[in-house]
Amino acid sequence: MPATTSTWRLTGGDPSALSGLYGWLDAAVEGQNLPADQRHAMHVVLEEAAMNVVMHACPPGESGDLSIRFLAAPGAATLILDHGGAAFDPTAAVPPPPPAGPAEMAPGGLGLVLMRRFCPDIAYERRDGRNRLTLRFPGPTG
Amino acid sequence: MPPPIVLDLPGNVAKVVLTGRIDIEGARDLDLPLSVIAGSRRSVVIDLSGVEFLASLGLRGIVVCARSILSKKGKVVLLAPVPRVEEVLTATGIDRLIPIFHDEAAAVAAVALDGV
Repeated sequence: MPATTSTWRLTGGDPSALSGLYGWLDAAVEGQNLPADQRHAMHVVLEEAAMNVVMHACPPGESGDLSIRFLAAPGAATLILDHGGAAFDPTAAVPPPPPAGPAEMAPGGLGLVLMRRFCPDIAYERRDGRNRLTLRFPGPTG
Repeated sequence: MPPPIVLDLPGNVAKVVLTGRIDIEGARDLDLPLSVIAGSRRSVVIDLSGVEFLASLGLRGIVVCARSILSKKGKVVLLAPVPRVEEVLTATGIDRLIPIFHDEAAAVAAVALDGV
């Protein structure tokens, strides 16, 4: 099973350290025969998951590490995010209801909705003070 | 991403053309231009036909801009997103408050305050 791991040094509240995220993912999945729609879904979900760490798990101004691993196997492409920040289980969080009017059109909370829409299998585990989020997608196709 | 292009259309409508990827970097680049547009225009068509990628950080910028325009009794719509971008808009329910049009004339007519 080919695996690619990258570790990102983050500052809480500052997403700029994640600007190379998509390039890393493109390089990791290269040659894996993943359909374009699935690569797009992985981009969306990885952005949301990593942004959750930067914006919510890592206190503003403080440093933290985020390790992201990509695993490919027949029928499954998996991203595993590991970090030591505050516990946050996106599988248990309740997404906001769809906005009913402009006043309810909150800019936050949309990431959870998108993660669930674009990733069919999300698992969260908190162990030894660390968080592990496993995002499983279909493919590669062969 | 390239800076947005703002075109003045009849009816005092601003057509804001966005292109490229509205990812983490793209969303950051859009913050100031969208803030300026929200502060200065009341009839806005946001053309998404050239946007290849949109996720929640980019949505946040568009929502903040739209909410500001709507709070001033203005109007804002989205024009011609590609299917992947439209799926992001519909999945989050944003399309219920910022309508999506695929025809430019209809989009302009929907936001024009002074008639066209």
